[in-house]
Amino acid sequence: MKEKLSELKETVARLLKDRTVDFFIAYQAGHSQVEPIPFFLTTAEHVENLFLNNFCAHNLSKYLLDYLAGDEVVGVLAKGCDLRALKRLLTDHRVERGRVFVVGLPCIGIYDRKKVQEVYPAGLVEVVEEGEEVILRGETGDKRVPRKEYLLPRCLTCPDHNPEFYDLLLGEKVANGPLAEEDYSDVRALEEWAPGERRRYWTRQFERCLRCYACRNVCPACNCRVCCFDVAEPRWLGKGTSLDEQEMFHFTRAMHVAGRCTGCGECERVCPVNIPLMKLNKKLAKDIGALFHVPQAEIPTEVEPLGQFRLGDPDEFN
Amino acid sequence: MCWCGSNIASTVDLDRVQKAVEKLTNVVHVEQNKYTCSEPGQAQIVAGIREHNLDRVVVAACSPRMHEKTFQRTVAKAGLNPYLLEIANIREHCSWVHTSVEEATPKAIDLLRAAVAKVIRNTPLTTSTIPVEKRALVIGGGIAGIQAALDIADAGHQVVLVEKEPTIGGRMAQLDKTFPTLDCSACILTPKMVDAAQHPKIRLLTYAEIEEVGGYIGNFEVTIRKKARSVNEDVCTGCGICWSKCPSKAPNEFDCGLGERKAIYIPFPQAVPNKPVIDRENCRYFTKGKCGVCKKVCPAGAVDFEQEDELLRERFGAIVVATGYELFDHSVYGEYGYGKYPDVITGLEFERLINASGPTGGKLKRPSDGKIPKTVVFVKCVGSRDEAKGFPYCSRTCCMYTAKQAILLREKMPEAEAYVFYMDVRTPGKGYEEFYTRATEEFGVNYLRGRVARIYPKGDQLVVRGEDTLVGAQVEIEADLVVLATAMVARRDAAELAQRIGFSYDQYHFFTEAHPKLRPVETNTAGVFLAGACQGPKDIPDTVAQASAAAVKVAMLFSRDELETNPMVATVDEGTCSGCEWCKPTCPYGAIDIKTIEERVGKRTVSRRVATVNTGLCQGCGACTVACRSGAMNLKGFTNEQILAEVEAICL
Ligand SMILES: Cc1cc2nc3c(=O)[nH]c(=O)nc-3n(C[C@H](O)[C@H](O)[C@H](O)COP(=O)(O)OP(=O)(O)OC[C@H]3O[C@@H](n4cnc5c(N)ncnc54)[C@H](O)[C@@H]3O)c2cc1C
Ligand code: SF4
Ligand code: SF4
Repeated sequence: MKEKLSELKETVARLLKDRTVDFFIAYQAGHSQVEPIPFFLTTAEHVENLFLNNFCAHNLSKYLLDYLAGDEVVGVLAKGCDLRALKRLLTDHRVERGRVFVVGLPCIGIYDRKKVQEVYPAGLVEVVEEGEEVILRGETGDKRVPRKEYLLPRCLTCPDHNPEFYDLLLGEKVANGPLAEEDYSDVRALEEWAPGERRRYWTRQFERCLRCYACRNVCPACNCRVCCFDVAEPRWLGKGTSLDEQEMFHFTRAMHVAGRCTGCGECERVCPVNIPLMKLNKKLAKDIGALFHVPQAEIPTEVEPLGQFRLGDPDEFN
Repeated sequence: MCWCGSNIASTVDLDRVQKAVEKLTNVVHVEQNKYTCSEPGQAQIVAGIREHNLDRVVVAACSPRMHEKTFQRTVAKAGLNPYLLEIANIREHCSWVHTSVEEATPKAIDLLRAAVAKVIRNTPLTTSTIPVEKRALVIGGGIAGIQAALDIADAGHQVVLVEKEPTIGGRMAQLDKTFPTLDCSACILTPKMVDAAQHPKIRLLTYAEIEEVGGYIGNFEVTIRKKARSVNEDVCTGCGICWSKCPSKAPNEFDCGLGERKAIYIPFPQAVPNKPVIDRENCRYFTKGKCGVCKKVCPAGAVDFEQEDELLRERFGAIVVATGYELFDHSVYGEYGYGKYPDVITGLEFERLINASGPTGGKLKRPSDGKIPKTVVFVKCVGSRDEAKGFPYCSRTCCMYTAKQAILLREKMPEAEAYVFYMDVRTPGKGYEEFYTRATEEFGVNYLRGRVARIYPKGDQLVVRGEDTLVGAQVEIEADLVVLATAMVARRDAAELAQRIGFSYDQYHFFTEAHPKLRPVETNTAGVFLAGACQGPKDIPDTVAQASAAAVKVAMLFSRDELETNPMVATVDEGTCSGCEWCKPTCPYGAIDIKTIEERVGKRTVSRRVATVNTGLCQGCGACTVACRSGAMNLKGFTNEQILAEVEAICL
């Protein structure tokens, strides 16, 4: 990934100079190697601050929602998963294709900051890939670990290492590794628990919620102009923190993205208190796959499994 | 609060409810009546509103389906907007489903608390009006469709009668004589067919089908496909030279395939219109490219091989669906030979075989070798009342037509024997029991109670083996002909048609009426009515009665120049709407569209897409309001705020 940085700099500089784009969204260095942050460039002079490594997890296309009212063309860097998020925004008619310039970024996996930090709480210098292993190179020496164990969960079942479409691709396409089918083993395990046990498990999770709404803010499927959690009237949710309200928040959030979730797992990644939101999302995806024969990898689709009145629907409509 | 006699009062302690409700905020006045829907009960409401200067009313009584309209009119009499009324259903939802006063009473209090919370948030709603196109579309030209069309036309309105076959008449035209009077079917039907054809207000479109239906009550927009007849109806005189000279033959559907017709044909001599059609699949000109005999002999020059399907776009105010029924395919019954023995026939085939205009000229000859049968066995309930292989319902007509057919057999051929295997004999109609008695007593038809276990060939005969449960013995009858009273089932394209028009059908694909007792001819889609066997198996008297009832409903609708619209429709809060279009495909009535609005953002004017609801099409089902995540879709009269208030009143 890092090796593409110079090409990225050249590309962004050129796009900004020849006014192909009015500004560009990519990454810049954060507090440490493992925490790159979004970077919004308006002039070519800023390209020197661009940053790229295997921790660039952020889905940048969600920021496009901030530029709806206007006519600027926004350039955005997108990996395969980010592109599916962008597709979500396009399918939901939230973003106009003509106003986005997609620079595609082939990617073979992003590392999970939290897992790496368990090994290297601070002082990581870089990650060197060596086949199925990685060397975590730090200030205090190297650690050789199996690559798969340190990837983000979404990368393990990534259906597309290359973005499905783009206006320009950085470097060459990479070969898609053997695709690990989503096996829903974690969901299945939960399903087998007794209801009381499950209830206790989720209570423990939801109790921790801070209602910071980070999960919603990062989610590409949560793209409403006005979010139901933000309106005063009708008061769907109380503002205070209580288990009831937290539960209501989580159920509502899960149902609002049911059949629309792209499976990127950003919500779970950004949650400051590690609530396993993807277990809820995946349970719904699994059921939708079984009931409507729309697998997660095909979402967003043209015909939304939960968003249509179908005459042949097995249930009555009265 | 209504006692409903003792319906509510015996299970709900209304005095206790009254005490609890009187304490609720916003509640000014509470009273009880024995029957609130009675005149004195309603007068009490009007007096209460005036005396206490009330601006909202809750009636705790039966389901709003029963009396909501009544009480809306009552509050309107006292000067309130009718939508400032709420019903708390303490009968169907409470007293009728509980036996214990201790359980029912607190629940009634909850229901009232919810209704009070909602009514406070009710806003006055007003109806608007839409013009009514006073033209009716009748789909299906059987006796049901013909009767409905004639009645609507006689009431003075234009009717278009669309029939998919080349002629009108339907199944009734195929019947020989009809129970319980044994008058000849054609003799009573053909005059009606001619009336329909000649009525100045009726336009017949035969050999035509419904392609598309849009719009709503009072304003349906329908596309009709008039299939290519290959004969110019305007110039054809129906002289018949063409079909007498045509060299290609095909099985005649009208005779259930027992006889033949030509490739250019009219289905039967009294067909209306008396204009032939070319069956292109069996026509030499169309299959092989040469022939054209009909075109050469036609003195009027009516044959037109180039004719194409025509699409007609028409506007109607109401639709009557009268598409009839089909017969159950008995080939699933292995024990009856999977439909492979030619001398095991259906009742309808029997009708054709004894009919003078049928393939045998009215001489009952069996299909296999043309022999005159001496012993005929009738088997009832084939596919009816049989959940395993057929349908659980009763087809209602078979008991009677089997008795009829046995009588006709014995009348025509007194030397022939008639046996009937039956489960029950159901004769709930005027003169029906007497008719059945005549079959057994006067005509000596042998009724054997029991199911037929097997039918198998023996020599040139068929052995029918079954059980006579009354005697408790196995019986075997060597028969020359077996007639199966196969179930009446929905047309195979029934579901598709219902979907195209947009109303519902049951699990057997019979069309569903809006209420099984009180609205038997309406569908749940306003402006669409039902007539005849498409709604469920029925005989001719019931079919005609329902057809006339549907016609009255149409005439009622057309007696007004304008219709009041339902004010409880969905509305879009454009400020909140994301324009994501999620609601659009969830609307079963196609009522939602997307439009572009302009708005000021900072110093610029930008355009943005939002949903918009066609209030004429919206039926207020609420599907879109739950589909919309941000709550931009709201249903008037059932807003998110109102429903949330109800939930909170019960839960918090
Ligand atoms: C063997 C037998 C004997 C019977 N004997 C008697 C009797 O003696 N007395 C009695 O009272 N009843 C009798 N019945 C019952 C009788 O046939 C029915 O009650 C009657 O025919 C119902 O009329 P209908 O108009 O509803 O349906 P149908 O007669 O089925 O007419 C429906 C019409 O709609 C047309 N159609 C269907 N689909 C479409 C479409 N999509 N678009 C346009 N047109 C369409 C069809 O072509 C047909 O012309 C008998 C039934 C059977 C099976
Ligand atoms: S789940 Fe996590 S990210 Fe989402 S609101 Fe709760 S604490 Fe915040
Ligand atoms: S309420 Fe029902 S009919 Fe009306 S617009 Fe919404 S989905 Fe369509």
